[in-house]
Amino acid sequence: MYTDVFGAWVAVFLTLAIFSYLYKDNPFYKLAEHVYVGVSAAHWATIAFWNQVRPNLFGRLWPHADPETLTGFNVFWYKLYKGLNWISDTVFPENGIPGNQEQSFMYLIALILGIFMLMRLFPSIGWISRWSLAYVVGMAAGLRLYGYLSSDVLSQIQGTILPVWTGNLGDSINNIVLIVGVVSGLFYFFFSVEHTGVFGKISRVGIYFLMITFGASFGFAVMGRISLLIGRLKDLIQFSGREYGYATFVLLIIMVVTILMTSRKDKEVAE
Amino acid sequence: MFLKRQVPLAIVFIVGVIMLLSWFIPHEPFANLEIHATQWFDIIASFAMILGALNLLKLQGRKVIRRQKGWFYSLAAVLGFFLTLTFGFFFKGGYYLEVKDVGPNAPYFNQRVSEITHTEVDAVERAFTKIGEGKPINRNFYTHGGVLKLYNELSSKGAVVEIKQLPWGSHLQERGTFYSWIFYSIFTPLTSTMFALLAFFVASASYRAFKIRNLEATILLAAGIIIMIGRVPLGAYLTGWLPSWLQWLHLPRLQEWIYQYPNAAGARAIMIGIGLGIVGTSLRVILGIEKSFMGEK
Repeated sequence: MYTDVFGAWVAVFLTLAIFSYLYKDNPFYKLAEHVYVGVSAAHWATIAFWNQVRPNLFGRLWPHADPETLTGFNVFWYKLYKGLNWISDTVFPENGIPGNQEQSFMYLIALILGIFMLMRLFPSIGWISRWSLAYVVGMAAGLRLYGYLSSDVLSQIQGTILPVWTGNLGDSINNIVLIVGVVSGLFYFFFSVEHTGVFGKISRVGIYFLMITFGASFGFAVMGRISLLIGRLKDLIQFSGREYGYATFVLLIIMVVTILMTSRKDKEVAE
Repeated sequence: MFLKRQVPLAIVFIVGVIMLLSWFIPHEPFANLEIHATQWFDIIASFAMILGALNLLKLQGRKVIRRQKGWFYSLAAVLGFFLTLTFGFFFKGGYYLEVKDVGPNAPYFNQRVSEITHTEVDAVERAFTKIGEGKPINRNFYTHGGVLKLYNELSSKGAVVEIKQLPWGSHLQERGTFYSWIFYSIFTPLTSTMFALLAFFVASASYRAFKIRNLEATILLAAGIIIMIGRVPLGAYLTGWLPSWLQWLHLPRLQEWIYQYPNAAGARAIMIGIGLGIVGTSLRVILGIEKSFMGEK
């Protein structure tokens, strides 16, 4: 209960601190901004470790195994694991990582490339991280080349090859709108020819279609942000209650007074 | 020079070509290559995230140590970083009770569990009718002291319960862990407020766009406004009076049509453009023409 109330006070403080930027840049905003940077960096690193590195890398190199059943190289291999277990028995529990992964030494390459990536922290040997980056870039290029060609180019073209007369006026108009929109939009993106004459007119129609797309994206973006804003305001209202010690009111008053006082002081110094 | 320049280019070429081939040769050794290669990709990307976090720590830590301008704020970033890391790797919380037997005082048990889990008494009763080898009470506690109180209370009424702790890994998702406290009390409010701020800036951006007064800006805003109003009850209310022959102007309908046809047409043109761009860039990368990932032009 105390943790929840304290959590509410922290959440209200941070929310108000970020909103205070609407007045002007101030120490509360800067503080919240830096906390956000620190917490989110650690958050994503933690998520990456527990959701990827531990189960999919360490879990494949040292899957949970009964020490009695270990033979050959694995006897030595799991002795190495004991070193990791000694470092942290929560992250590396005894006898291997729990889960259903099969052992695969191929993942040693991923471990090595991962470690190479971290070498970027040391300028003298930072160049070796290029190898890891090269793998990531090469893999993404090879995988995305066909993936995008198939889903973003061929499928979209296929989806646009539609009958202009379907026997139903409404459907036919819709199909024509789609075809005209896609073709004229592509005309606009074709920069090898100067956009003049008939070409220019078609590409202008393309711009109108693109504007409708950007407008729709704009609308969705606004709606998303507004719903986030409503969520924050709902939280502020909830935490302004007695059970949370009137957190919103108290913190709002403290912050407003502090910001006004500091800006008055700043003005005096400037004068 | 060879290790710094030629090897990365060779890696890109070999990995790129192998991945490309794997699309066209669905046989061993290429068959399962995509699964493992993407897994490696995710693992290395995770290391990149860890690198980013460590790099941030290095930069902010340096600011604090050298007492540079704004070092106090950097200290807040460093503290936030370590607090999250501590709860992510060292202090878990997440204590809960596993019920082995409800005991002779079932109505009391159901009532109490209903209170702490905020569920109906009937639902609790149904849930704990068949316990099997043990059933957890759906409420986690941050501390051992917190769960011990409930343990004593239920045990004194004859229930057979056992104190347990969530395993490492699930502490990231479950409520009642210190990590979840950081997530719900710091990370989520900060993220949503940061993005919610944009709602205010969008308002001023729209005002500026209105002032431009050309056809393109008008089309953009008209599409955006119709989509926005058409998706909330106000849209249906404003145009609800329209006669049947003008139903196509009913805002929810109109926004759906705009979304499905003109918007889809523009989006398709953009997607095809992006797709072709990615194909071209990927080829350039694989063939070693594009080397910007190495910091070269």
